Amino acid sequence: MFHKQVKNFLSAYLDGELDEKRRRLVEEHLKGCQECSEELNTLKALDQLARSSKVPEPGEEYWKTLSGRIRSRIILEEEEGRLSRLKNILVQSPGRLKLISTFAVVILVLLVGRQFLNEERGTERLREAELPLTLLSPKEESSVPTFREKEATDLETGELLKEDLAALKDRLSGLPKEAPPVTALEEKKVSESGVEGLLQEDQIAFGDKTSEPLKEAPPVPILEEKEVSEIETEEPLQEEFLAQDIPSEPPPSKAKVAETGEGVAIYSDEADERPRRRVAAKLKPAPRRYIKILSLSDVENFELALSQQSRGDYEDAIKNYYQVIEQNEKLAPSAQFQINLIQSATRDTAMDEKTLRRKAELWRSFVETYQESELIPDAYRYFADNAYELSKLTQKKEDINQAITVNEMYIKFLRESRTAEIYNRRRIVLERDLNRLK
Amino acid sequence: MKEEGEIEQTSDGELISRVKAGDMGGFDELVRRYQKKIYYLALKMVRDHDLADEVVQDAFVKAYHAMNKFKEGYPFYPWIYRIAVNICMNHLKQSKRQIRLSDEREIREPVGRENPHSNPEKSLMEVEKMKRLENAIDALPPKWKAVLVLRAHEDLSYEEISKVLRIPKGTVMSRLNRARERLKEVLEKL
Repeated sequence: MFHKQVKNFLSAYLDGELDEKRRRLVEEHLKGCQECSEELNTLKALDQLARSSKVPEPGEEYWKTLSGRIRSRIILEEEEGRLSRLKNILVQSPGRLKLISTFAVVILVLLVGRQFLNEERGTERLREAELPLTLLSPKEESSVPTFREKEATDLETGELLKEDLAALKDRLSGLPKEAPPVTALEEKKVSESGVEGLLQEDQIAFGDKTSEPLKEAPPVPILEEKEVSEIETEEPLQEEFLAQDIPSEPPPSKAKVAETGEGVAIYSDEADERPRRRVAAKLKPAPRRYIKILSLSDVENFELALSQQSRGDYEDAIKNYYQVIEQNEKLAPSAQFQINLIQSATRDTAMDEKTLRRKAELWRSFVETYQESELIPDAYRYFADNAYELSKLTQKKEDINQAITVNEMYIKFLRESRTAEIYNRRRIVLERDLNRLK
Repeated sequence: MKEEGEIEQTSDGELISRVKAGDMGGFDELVRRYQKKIYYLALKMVRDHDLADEVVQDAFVKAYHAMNKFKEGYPFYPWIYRIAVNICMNHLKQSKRQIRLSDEREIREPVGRENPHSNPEKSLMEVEKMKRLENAIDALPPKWKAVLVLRAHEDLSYEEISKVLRIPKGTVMSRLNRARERLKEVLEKL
């Protein structure tokens, strides 16, 4: 029994971890027990072997860059946290989302309601006029869709061109009244395409992908001029027309309409381009802004870039960051900050004059461009560090002056802290360097 | 530079205070002080350079984020060791396989190479033994392995190991005992 206990203590005995009493007991036992002595020798050999085990040395460069990489990861994670908070504000904050949803629903109801009212008014007036379409010449018949376009245009602008309709009524008043009125189906088509178009825009804006998209237009991007025009006219428009600039002249006035001649000639091809352009002009910008507010694509792009950065895919990450900068002003400082980090800390750890100068320039550009960004203190820290290293390396007057200036700027953000002490000490060192040069 | 010299002499506690005050430079210095210890500890645990690098980075990043919870006056190294060992053990548990050193470990100098006049056969035996031993260490349960690595490679006392792993000293003793027993069995078969 005692032998077995001693065997269990041999490992601790070898490590010098037994208390005095147990150590003596083991030593006494070892004098008379060959088996335990051999066991102890084996353990010693094992221990020596384990200690002699060598592992590959990763190289001096690895040790030099490790702290920089760790620092980058810390900043990256802080950035991800900031991004996550931003995303929460956009998406997950129930209060804000509720507010946005309520606002959107109100807008939608107003638009649909207005359209409905306009449609009713338009139909009523048309019925009053009892437009004799069947009596129109083939050329004139071809202008029927144009009429729908015009109505849709008026619906979209929110103001029926009362003068135009009145003029139309006046001009048609002499025609026979037996002719059938414009069918309700045709009118409905026009109004539906307008309403559904709006509904679809809202669904996109809210990220609702469950609803069926319209046949006339692909779900994304819905707001292209071509698609808008197709919804309005049900006829494909020529690209040349779409490519034209939106004319700045006002819609045809009553006087101009009156000058155009008899009957429905007022809806000639030339005349009906204007309302169509107006539709495009009216519809295009507003929903784009609408989508811009709620779109997560920039945020997702930023996230993708962050993950690429953490994986070391720096080129792809930089590409995506630049895309974010182009598309989203809010995220632009964060994206540029990450680009700078990659270019000044993660990817390029060299400390020669050319590199340090380039790094300092990167941060100088950042602090000048994004003066309002909350990242400015961090940017100044990097700027100050690089400027300091550069000045110590070159010992040039202008570099030292730059380092002093930036150092002072950074100190302003620090208030009273140990970090401030460090940068204050650094300032003293820099001033001493400068005095020595003088 | 004088400043760097000053930082070199600064105690861990002072550096930690600086980090808590937002000084990343202080943290960089802490990293530089312990990076090798943590890397080699991780490498001996996970037996792979890339994984060891990941462990080192994870450990220091975690330490940075938890720095405000760190009680000043306590030594830093058991804390950072514990973080690193826990990450290693998670890696080992998750992979459910003992990760071996990649081929690059073959660049390790054979034992007999230091003395060109030594017996080549003996050297070969030693190399073979070493390989067996390393394989046996790799095959140990992560808990035993952690204790063994901390003792044999890092030369920590039982008291220090118990602090790092937050286990009683008696548990350190028994785990180490079992680990050595297992290794002995493997080597005796050679």
